[in-house]
Amino acid sequence: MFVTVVVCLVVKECYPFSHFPMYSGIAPVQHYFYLEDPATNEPVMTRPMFGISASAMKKTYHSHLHNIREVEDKSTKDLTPEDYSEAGSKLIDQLIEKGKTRDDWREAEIKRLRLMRVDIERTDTKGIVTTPSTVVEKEVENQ
Amino acid sequence: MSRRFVPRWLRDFFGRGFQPFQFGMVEAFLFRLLTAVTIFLLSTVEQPNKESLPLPGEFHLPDQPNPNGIAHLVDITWISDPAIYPKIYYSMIALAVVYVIGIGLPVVLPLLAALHILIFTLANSQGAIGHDNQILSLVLLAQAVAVCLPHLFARRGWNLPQCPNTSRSSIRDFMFNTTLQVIAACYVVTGLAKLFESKGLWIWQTPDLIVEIVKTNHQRGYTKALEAGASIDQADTIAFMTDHPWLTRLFLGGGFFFELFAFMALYNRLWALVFGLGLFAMHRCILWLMKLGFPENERLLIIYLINIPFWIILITGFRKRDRTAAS
Repeated sequence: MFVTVVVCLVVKECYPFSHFPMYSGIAPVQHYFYLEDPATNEPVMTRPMFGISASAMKKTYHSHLHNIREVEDKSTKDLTPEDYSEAGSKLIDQLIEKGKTRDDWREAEIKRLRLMRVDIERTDTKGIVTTPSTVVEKEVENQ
Repeated sequence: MSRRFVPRWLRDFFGRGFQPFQFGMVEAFLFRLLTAVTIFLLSTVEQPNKESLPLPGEFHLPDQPNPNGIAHLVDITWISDPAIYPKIYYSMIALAVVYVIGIGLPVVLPLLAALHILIFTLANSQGAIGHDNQILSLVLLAQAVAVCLPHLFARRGWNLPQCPNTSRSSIRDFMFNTTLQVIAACYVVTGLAKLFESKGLWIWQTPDLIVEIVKTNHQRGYTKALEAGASIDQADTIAFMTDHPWLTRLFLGGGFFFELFAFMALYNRLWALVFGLGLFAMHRCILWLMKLGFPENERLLIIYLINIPFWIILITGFRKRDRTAAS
């Protein structure tokens, strides 16, 4: 047991080993992402369209952001709004690739996609406050 | 450490337990049968048709944009090739049948573990790492190591204290004790990660989990359309956690202690049951609060720690003995 604990804590994310970081740090501020059709301002459901959950979409967005940081050798505080948009743009490209094999996406009449970020904060005075903002909006093909 | 510095009650307590469990043939067969079922099916009350291993035709990942594990070293996308994956899936069914029967385990288990790990390594190399399959992959890996290691040691003339010989019963006990240790280790790691990440303040911070609950439920609402009448607000839960921060700390702190001290499940069968039930209840609470299920974890807790067949056999055995003694 001791060996497994040490290996998991040292190698962190190296399947099948993991340090199981889910909810290990609880912060009063969090965020999530969702997709929107700018023509209707209606949300685009990620599971039927692209086969992934909004939670997996967030992890994928952060993987792209991490790659940008690595390539450009930047720390998180040095990231520019363009870097965040680029990560969003790469995420949308990846989703479109996934959508090509899915009927729901192929049959949807969506010409543009907007990636929205929602920041959630717990405050002592106002309770839960949510603040939406646009990460990126781009033209897409669904054929 | 000198004996006089360790309180007597503590010495007595730890001296009694942490002996490897002994497993019967029927118990071992049920462990293998239920583990094999868990590799493929994860039916729950909420999701009766849930699969664990992706079905043929539903697993095609042509690239690995964010490699994880062995995918850092080699390209493993071939495993999801539509021409290859169905063969792998049906081979795993065949291997699982042989595993349940219990023959050729030093060959079958490494193959089964390797394929399971490869499939979910690729699934976890897409940029979003999930944490639901690791425990099952680790259990299969641990079982594979436990059935191979005694033979390797015996061949070299070395002594493996946990498995003194290569008899079927010794290897069986070693294999399932290793399984229990790996399951306990996964929870201890989770507890330690919380402890380290929060610098020891995890329980204190639990009222802030409201933010996580809101996030998780909103994400659910953007994943797929909710059923009519369903709500993502969880207003009652949020109100309760806001109004009762100390009760929140008490409830969620309980789950945290079950994780951190999960190694106590190895103390004896009763502690395994207590920790199995405690951790199972924790998963059910997470499912209720955040709609986040960990069915693989729940299933393995039921099979190995709660172990209902063992308790049925034990209790019916006692009653039978009592009746015999009375007559």
